[in-house]
Amino acid sequence: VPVHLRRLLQVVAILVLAGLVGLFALSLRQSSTSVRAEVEGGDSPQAPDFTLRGIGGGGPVRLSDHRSQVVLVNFWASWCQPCREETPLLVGWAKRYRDRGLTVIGVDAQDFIGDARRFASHYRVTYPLGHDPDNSLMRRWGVTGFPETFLVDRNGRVIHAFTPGPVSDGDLRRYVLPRLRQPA
Amino acid sequence: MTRRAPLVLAVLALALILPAAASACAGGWTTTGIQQDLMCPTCNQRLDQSHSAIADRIRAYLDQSCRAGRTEAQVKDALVAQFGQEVLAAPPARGFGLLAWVVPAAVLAAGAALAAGLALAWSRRRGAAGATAPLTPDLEARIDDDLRRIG
Repeated sequence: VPVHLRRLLQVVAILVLAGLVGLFALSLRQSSTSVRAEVEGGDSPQAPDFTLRGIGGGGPVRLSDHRSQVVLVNFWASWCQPCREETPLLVGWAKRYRDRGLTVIGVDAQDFIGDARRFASHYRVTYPLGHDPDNSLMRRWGVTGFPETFLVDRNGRVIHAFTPGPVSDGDLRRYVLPRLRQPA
Repeated sequence: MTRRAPLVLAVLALALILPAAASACAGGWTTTGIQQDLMCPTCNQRLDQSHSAIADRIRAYLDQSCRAGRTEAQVKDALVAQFGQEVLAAPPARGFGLLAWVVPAAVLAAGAALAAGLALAWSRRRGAAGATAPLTPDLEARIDDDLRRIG
């Protein structure tokens, strides 16, 4: 094999290896910098903004439209049994504390939009619902199952990641009520 | 009895043909076959091996799509629009997904070329080592002396 060809092959091999190492490092970084990982690590990261296709009509759902409010970001799917148990509680809280600045945003994922719409109609959901079509939002927030809920304060910081599973009235009283009392 | 024979044969033939016709959807795809190309979005298993709630729901959608006369491409596109590319067991051979098809083939071709090159270089080196150098007159004389002594 001529020397210059051997050199070229060596350079290509090194570049390919460097690319693979880079991709591996990137995937590690992405998995370790999810919102859940940061919150569980003791940080209160700025909530990454998102724009989702609205499910219940009324246009796209944007987190940034709710700045200066306390926001519960709830990931759910229509086929998820615990979500059926949790939704009436969230609907009740969204109605009761709307005037005090509480918003719930439902992020439907891994689901048929038609099923999600029927679910919303069945449970008379009045808060904004959006569909995550490629699970990118789920990954960014570190969601691994349904339901999962996060609390965003009036300054747009994620201050609590609830234990995966349905939230309880006690959870909401403990974490949400104190935030509603605080001004932005 | 002989009069009824053609009727019985016709019924048997229909019984054999009808299930095959019923399971084939527009364009020839089947609701069982397509499941091998799809993934359960929540459990990282192929759809035909998954028993999750969403897998059952997608199977119901496949039955419904077959009855509605949708083609395989329409069904897959609709599923990708709802669940993302991850619902496909293999990435599409276009755009970024093309890399998943091209890279392994390129690596295989490069490996084969490298193996062939090494084999060629090895056989050349072996041929060069095996070739005998011509005897010098001095060495020839010594061999002759040795042979005479033995003989």
